[in-house]
Amino acid sequence: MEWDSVSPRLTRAQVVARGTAAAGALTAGGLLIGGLPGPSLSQPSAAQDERVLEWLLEVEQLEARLYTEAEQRGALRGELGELAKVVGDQERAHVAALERALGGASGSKGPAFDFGEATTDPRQFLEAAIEVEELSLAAFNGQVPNLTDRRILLVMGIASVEARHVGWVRDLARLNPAPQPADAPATQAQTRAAIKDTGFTA
Amino acid sequence: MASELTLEAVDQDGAIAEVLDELTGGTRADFLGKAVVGGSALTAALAAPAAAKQRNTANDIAILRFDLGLEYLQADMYSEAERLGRLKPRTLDWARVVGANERAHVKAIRGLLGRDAIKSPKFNFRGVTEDDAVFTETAVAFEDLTAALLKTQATQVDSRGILAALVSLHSVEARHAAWIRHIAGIVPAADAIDEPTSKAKVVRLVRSTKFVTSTPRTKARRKPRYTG
Repeated sequence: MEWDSVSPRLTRAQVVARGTAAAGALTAGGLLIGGLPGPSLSQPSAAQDERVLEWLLEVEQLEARLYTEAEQRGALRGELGELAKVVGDQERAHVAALERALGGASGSKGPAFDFGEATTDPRQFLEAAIEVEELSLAAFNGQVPNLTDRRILLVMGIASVEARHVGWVRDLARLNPAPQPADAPATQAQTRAAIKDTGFTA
Repeated sequence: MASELTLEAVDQDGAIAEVLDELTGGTRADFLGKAVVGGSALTAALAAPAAAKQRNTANDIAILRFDLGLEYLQADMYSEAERLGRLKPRTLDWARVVGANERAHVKAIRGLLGRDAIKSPKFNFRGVTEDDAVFTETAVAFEDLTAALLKTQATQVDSRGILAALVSLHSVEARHAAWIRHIAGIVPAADAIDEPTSKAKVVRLVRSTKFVTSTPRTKARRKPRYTG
């Protein structure tokens, strides 16, 4: 297949490193679920929904920016280029859906990001896409229990597509697309730290 | 009707808390032995002793029992495919990894249900686990629909703890769906936002496969018929 030659394989060390990081996060998530704690903020309410959606919009803006820039720079070939276009369209649709739910475009495009070569170099793009999709999925999963029923379907409908993106990108990178039986949720603070760790924050 | 009964098998008396009988004994030992490979920490936490948890509402028990039936089916189907080893290499990889995940889901949901867990029905996969094209098509249908069903259930469960558990399983089902679609050459993410689906639609799919050959017997002691 065409993308076989395009998609770089990550080294075994990278695979192991990522697996270890995921397992660490999972323990926290597992304990959270096993202990059946309440939501991490407070009882769901319309006001809380708004705060959650604003937060998730910020996460989506990061994703949309990555793929939009990759598509605009036009350096990715084969299935990677196709992925940037398809996933980019979906991330932009997520931004629009969240803005609609919040009553209109915020006007703010969110913080600035510097992706460096991650939007042109195939290997760096794959790594960036995996990192950004995984942290976004965890951020969405972490917020679902904080929402009123009215917003659960929207947020899970988006989370589901983020999970599909992760599965797609990881399979392209020759990494196990579903290395754990359950996905750990992340709090806002954990996600902010993960975003900082990407090195993309300008 | 048979499939719906199979997957729900609601037993008001809680009599189905009896351990899995010889029908599924071997399979169950297999589940417990191998689930650890995939899941460990989270699985262990999900399967915390029932006594340590709040009582589940009747509504939540019904939802979890339905999911358990669906997970039994998927776990058995993928495990059988792995055991037979007749699929193409990438599909076989999928069956091995996803089978382990589904076995871990079985264990996790049984843990959430505690004494209210149902036993596994018996299945006959009618050659599907040996035919790459049919297996792939069936797996896409099950994974897509399971992810869609969990969305609906997320709005129906009473407990926020169980909601959190379903959310953590939900995105894994979506990963499975994208992966098998990618193997099959279908777009892994067809829509920007995934829609929920109804339990009725999942029941229709299960019935259409005719995979379920026996229901878990909730009145086992009254009818000990082992013929053949």
